[in-house]
Amino acid sequence: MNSHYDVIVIGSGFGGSVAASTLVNAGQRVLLLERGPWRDTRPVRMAGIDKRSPLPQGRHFYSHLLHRLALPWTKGNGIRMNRHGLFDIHLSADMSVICSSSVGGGSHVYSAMNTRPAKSDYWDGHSQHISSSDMEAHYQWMIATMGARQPTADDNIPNFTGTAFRDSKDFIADDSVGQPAMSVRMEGDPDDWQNNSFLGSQSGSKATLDQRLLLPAVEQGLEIRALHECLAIWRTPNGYRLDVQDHQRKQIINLTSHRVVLAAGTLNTLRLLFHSRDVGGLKGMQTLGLGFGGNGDVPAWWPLNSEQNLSSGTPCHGRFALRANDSDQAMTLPGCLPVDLTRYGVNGIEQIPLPARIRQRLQRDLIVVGMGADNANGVARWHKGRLSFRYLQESNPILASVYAHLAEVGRRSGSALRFMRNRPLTVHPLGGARLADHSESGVVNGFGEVHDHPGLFIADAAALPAAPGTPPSMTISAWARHVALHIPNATHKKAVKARSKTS
Amino acid sequence: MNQITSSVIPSTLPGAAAKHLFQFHQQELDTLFDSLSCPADAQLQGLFRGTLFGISGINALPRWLRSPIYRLLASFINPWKGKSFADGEGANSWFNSKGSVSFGYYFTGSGDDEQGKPLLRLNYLHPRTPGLLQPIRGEARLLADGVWLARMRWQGKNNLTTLLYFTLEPAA
Repeated sequence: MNSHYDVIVIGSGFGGSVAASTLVNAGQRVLLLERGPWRDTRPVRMAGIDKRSPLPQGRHFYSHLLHRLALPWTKGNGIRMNRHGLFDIHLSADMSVICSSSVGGGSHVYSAMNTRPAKSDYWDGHSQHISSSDMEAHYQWMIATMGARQPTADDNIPNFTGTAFRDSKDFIADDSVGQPAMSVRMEGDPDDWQNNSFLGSQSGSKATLDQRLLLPAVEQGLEIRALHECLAIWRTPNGYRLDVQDHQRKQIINLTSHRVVLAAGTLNTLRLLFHSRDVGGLKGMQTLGLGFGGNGDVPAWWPLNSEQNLSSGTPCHGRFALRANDSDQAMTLPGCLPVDLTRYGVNGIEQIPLPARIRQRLQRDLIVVGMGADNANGVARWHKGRLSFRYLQESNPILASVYAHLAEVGRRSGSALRFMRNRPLTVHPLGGARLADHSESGVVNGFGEVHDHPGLFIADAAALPAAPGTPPSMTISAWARHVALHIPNATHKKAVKARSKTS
Repeated sequence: MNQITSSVIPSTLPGAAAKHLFQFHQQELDTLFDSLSCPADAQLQGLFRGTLFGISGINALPRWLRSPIYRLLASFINPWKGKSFADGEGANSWFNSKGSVSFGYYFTGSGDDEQGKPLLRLNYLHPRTPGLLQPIRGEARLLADGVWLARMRWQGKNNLTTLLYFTLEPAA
């Protein structure tokens, strides 16, 4: 094997960035492949990265908004709109998915919320090698790395829910609800409250993975190849060979390594595994595709038409809940499961070329995202080179609970929320290559290594054993950290074993 | 409540490896072939289904144009169905994949490429092969478990030119 890398990491989102950075810190020679480009943000510019692509803002909005569009009748990865585009949209009958493409992955477009799973024992009972108490250290490491902290009313953040709902009779957003730690600069600079959300943060006010993990890791020896997309993985006698499309030079190259960490994001990880199995590159993985879910996401439009500009602030205004009748208690509607409600302004709307009237109107409306742990019992399927999902709403009662809560928010505010009731849409796809101790129950073991494929690891949300029910970025990061910390140990143990066999 | 439990059947789809390689340029296929290995005691036996691609000339076309051509060649329309191997010899199978119509015979054996890397050779210098086809030299290496990547080359006076690539998979 002629590779001079100890590990090749595919993908630079929360899974890939954390894995690559952790491995580099452990002294491994790591190559990171990312299908998207570096984004033109202040931290990346200051680091001297030459080839950058703009975020879809201003005159680049329409040209750089979409990367790929997969419709039910399109084959393969769908129609590529612009290789420098930000979002992938995957429309499917049972569940549609939106994900993104950049060095730094979803951190450019996420809501900067750093949360643990809704259940404190989330990691327990899935494998003998992982437990919630062990994972806590990884959550704390990630919060510190992203510089995240809980916002308070004292930070004077525009539209912060803790302040906005302080005197509300209908909603509550105090300490009992618990605001998520946010990785946004909160030093009082008004510019930091603008243009920092779904369309990326050009100023770097929102902490992103390229800024916090990848650029420092590059200084320690991490090699990153942007616009390099892995097409297939082939198992070889000595490790793995990757067919990689270099979108810059427009050629396919082959890379080899003893170890590969797959963290291309749930959809792309599943695509890559299914395709590699189809072509004969990988074998087995009999439960591949099982346990797919959307984390109970339901985005809704809240047409408040407020007199205030609601678009500025942190990327997410914060959590809130329904207030129980004239009390200081949050409530869950009778017969419903607990639901996580978060409020967003259309932050970045100033950067979208729209008629002034429409823009002003959108500034006065809000977005609410309802979320809760679904049963993650869907199936990702692969047919004729296309990924599709089978996901039944009736077997995921959390969705009905979210719908009921969103309807109640609308009723109480006098402004009905608009959302797609029978068309699940998620930005948090997960599962399909689940963690379990045996290949009959899952695709990867408790260290993220694919069963029967030594040296192939999955470090993104595809391996998650269940839906966290909260934004999963921290959970993915914690998992990737757990996986990456094990890899050098495993390598060492295998080398010792091989040496002792030889001697 | 309806619980979804149906699993996905794991399998390697016939011809899928070749279809994946339809998108490769000639030079990319050459690089890929060079990177592959060949087991020391490799010996093919029985009927193998073949899928053509990487044809010199056609591969110079843009991807969107050459891919449909290869898909057409991978369909029933192509009379070449694959190859058969038995005891160090073999032949191309035509019109059906049962090997009942054979034309273009060759000897098989292990050999090395210009860099000394092992490969499986298909030598058309066979008494049952017409003289016009005898300068053909086949080379094969293992692409994946059970799937071979092979190429046909033309031995000229001074050079060896790659004509086309194909995959070979055991016929069901």
